[in-house]
Amino acid sequence: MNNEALISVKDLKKLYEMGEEKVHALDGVSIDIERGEYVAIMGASGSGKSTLMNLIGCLDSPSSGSYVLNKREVSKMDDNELAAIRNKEIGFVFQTFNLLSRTSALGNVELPLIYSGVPRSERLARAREALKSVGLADRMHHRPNELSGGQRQRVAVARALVNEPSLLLADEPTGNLDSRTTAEIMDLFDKLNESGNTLIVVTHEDEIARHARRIIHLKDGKVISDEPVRQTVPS
Amino acid sequence: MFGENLMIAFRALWANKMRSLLTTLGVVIGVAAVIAVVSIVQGLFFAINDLFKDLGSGWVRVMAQRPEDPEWEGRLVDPLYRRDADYLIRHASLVYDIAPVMFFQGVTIKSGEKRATTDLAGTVPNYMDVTSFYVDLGRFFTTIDDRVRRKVCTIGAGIIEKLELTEPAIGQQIQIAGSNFTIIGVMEARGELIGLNLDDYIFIPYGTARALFGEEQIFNTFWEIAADPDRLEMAKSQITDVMRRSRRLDPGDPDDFTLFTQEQITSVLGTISGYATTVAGGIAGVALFVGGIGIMNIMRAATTERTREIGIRKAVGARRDNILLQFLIEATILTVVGGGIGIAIGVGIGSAVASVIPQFPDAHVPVWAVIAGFSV
Repeated sequence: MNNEALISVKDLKKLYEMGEEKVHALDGVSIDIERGEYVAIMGASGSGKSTLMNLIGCLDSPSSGSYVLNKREVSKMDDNELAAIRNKEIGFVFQTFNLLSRTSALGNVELPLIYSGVPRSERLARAREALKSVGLADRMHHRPNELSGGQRQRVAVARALVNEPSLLLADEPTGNLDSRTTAEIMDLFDKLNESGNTLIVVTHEDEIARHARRIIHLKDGKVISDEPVRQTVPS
Repeated sequence: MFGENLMIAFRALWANKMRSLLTTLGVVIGVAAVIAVVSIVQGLFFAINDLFKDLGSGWVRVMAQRPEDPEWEGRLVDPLYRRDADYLIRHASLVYDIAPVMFFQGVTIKSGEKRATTDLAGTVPNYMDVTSFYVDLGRFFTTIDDRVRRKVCTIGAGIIEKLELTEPAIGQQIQIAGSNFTIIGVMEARGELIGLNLDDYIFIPYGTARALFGEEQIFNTFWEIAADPDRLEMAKSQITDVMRRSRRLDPGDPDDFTLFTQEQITSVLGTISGYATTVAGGIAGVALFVGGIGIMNIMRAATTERTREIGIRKAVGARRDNILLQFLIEATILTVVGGGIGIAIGVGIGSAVASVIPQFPDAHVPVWAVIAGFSV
């Protein structure tokens, strides 16, 4: 096992009990992800990719197994410690954007910094900087319903990046976008990865997965393949 | 960190202005209703209480009353005879004075073509001293007026208006129950209480009333008594003892008369006021409850949205206590603001009602209602 890995998941299991029935959503998954990697997690619905994403994102705790994030064992942490990890180490980008609807772009991006107790002036400066970096310098005071889908997703990316997390976790980030804005967001992801961010994208679309450098396929809660992407020559 | 939570809560409220407004409105209406209703009811009873306070602490009213005893069913109870009064004055050392009052309701009065009805009391000159209720203009009738049954009257200030008398009223003739009377005085005005004109009455001499309405009207007579205010309880038992002797009641017989004091009226009023406040407060409480349900409904409708909000906040690193504190602060702000506005409006409505309706007593805002309203 590689101690230098950003993420080291070992024999991770998640068991859901639905009445009598026990469902192994994850049935012993082991993955290492290095700093700076760009990984796509793929699989059909029910394959366990959402469960894996929730566990890696510290939104949920595993039934068994170990999960080391940035040299810290996460699997045994309590709720408050997990909240701190989510705040400092992980930036989320969701399919449905998940922005506070009646709050400005700036207010949304500010949110993680509020919870990590960053003073107001620094908070605003950093939130502005993050919005600028996703190309929304002129949309800071717009509310989500005044922004296009692609712009909303870029606000979400800015929010994910503002606390300088170790890991950017995107769950079907382009699922609600048209093809043009999808390209826009994937470009942004590529750039983020090039500038050193670690990205994990959960998707079921090959198009999206191909942007990553490594694709992990899940099926029935198990990893069925884990291989680097052959760099396709752009046509 | 508390400051941060406070800020988050404020922002969430501000971001959802309509929801905040509606929620606050529910609290405002409920609290205002409770306070307004309770204030008005309380104010009313304070005013009524004040009215009786004027009678003074040494005041006792005696009325003939059939005992609540099946044996007395259908029997005619003795009226309050003059001889009882004389006997009482002689033998009850704590009784200072007695003013018999022969009382009639709905008596027809007339001035020129103007016709009206009013309350009529036939009484004696010392009535003023006994009840601490005095003539304002002109004079009250004298012992001589009473003895010779003069057709003179002292009127309440409201009669002037009622009969459209020209000022000054004194010296003018009016018809009472078909006989002509000369107005010799006007009593001090007492104003109005909840639409009840307290100055709508006429006093005539006792003797005149007896002559006018007939001897049998003695059954309409009660007594106003001035007794020793410092020994009122003793005076009451003295009156009872002497009256029983005067009326020749056997030791086992029940009293065929009854005594009222201000204290009794106050306590009866207190009880009524208590019930009225409870009932009115209860109704207002229902309003508050309905308001509360309204709030719950708005909150429930907001739940879906808020569940998402909680999810988002947790995803970006909010701890459980951050979220709890945020919601608690939001609720507190809404309640405090809504409660504050509600109290202001409630007090406002109370005062407004008091000032719009003429002579309506000032609203009295009980502190307990404010606290109760607030705590909801």
